[in-house]
Amino acid sequence: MADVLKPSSLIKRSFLYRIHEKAGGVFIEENGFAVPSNYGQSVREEITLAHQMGIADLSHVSRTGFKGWHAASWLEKKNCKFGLESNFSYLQSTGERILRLSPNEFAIVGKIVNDSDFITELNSSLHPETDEGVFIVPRSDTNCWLKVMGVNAPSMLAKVCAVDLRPQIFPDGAIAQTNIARLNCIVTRHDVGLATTYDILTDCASADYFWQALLDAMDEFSGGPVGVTAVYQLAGVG
Amino acid sequence: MKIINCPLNGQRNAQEFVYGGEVEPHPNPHLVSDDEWASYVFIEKNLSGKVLEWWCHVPTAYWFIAERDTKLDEIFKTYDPSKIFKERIDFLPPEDSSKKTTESAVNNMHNTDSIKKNTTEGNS
Repeated sequence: MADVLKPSSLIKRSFLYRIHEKAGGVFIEENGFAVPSNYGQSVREEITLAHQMGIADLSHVSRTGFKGWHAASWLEKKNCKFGLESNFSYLQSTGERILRLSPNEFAIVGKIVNDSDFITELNSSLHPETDEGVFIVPRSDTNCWLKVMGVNAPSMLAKVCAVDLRPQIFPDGAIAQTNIARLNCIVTRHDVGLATTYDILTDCASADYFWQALLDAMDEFSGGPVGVTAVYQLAGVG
Repeated sequence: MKIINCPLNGQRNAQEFVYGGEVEPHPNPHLVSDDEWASYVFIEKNLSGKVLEWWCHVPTAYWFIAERDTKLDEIFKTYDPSKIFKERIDFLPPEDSSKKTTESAVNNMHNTDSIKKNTTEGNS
C-alpha cells in the first residue's frame, strides 16, 4: 500500500488542512504544500459536483499585493499589463492575473496550474529603500484563497453576499470587494473551462469559519468540497 | 438596509462602512496649543444640516468624503478625497514648518461656503 501523505509531514499546509483531513481529503504535494487531491470520490464525480456546486481550497497557489502612490508605475516597469479600470482582473500573457483593487492597490494571483516563480520574483524585486511609494501586501500569509464553482454558485452566494454576482451582471474578470458571510472578501469571477467560478480571498484567521459557512450555505444545492485534481481537469490540465 | 454609494466600489450596504468624523482643517500639531489639538482630535461640531464627513469602506479600507444632511440622515454626494486634498502635506517641526495646513485645501472646495451657510441656518 502506498504511503499516505499526511499534511503535518510538510512544513507548508493550507490554513484548512485539519478540516480537509476530517472531510476525508486525500493529499498530494503541490508547491511544497499538502493539498487535497480529492475527498474520496472519483475525479469524474468531483467534476460533476464542481459544475453544479463545489468549493475548493487554493491557498497553496502563490499570491501577493502591492499598494502605494507609485505602485502602478512600478508594476508597469515589471512588464505587468493592466488597464485603468479598478475592481477588474487583468490576465497576463504568462497566466497570472493582476487584480486592480483601486488606482493605487493591486493583488496578483498565480496560475492555478503550474504555478511559476513570477510572484516570488516580483516580491524579491521590490527594494523599499529605492522604490519609493510602493509597499508590499503579503497576501500569501494573510489571505486564504477559496474557489466557489458551479451553476448554483450565484444563488448560493446571494444568500451570504449583498452584491449581485449573477453572471449576466458580474462578468468574467469583475471584482467585488465586499462582505461575504460577514467577512471582508475580495471576490473575483474567474471562470475555469466551462464552469462559472468565483475566487475569494479572505482573512486566513477566519478560514475555518468561512469554509464551514459556505458549506452550510451550499447544503441546499447539494454542494461540497472539490479536490484540486478536479479543478485541474476543469482547467483542461491534469 | 441603507445603501451608501462608495466612490470606488459603488453601492454597498451601510454596514460595510464606518464613520470617520467631520472633515475639518488639520492644524499643524507643532504650532497649536494642547487645547487646540485636543479640540481638533476629540471635539465634534455636531452641526445640524449639511456637513462634510469622512467615511471608510471597511472591506477595502478606502476612505472617502461624504456630504450628508444630518437632519435628514441622507448622504447626497460622495467622492474621493483627492477632490479636496490635492497634495501630500507633511507637518514639519516649527523651525522648518511652512505653516501649511489643510485649511486652504478645504476652503478651496467649490461648495464649502454653501455648506457653511446651510449648517449655520440649520443651527439657528
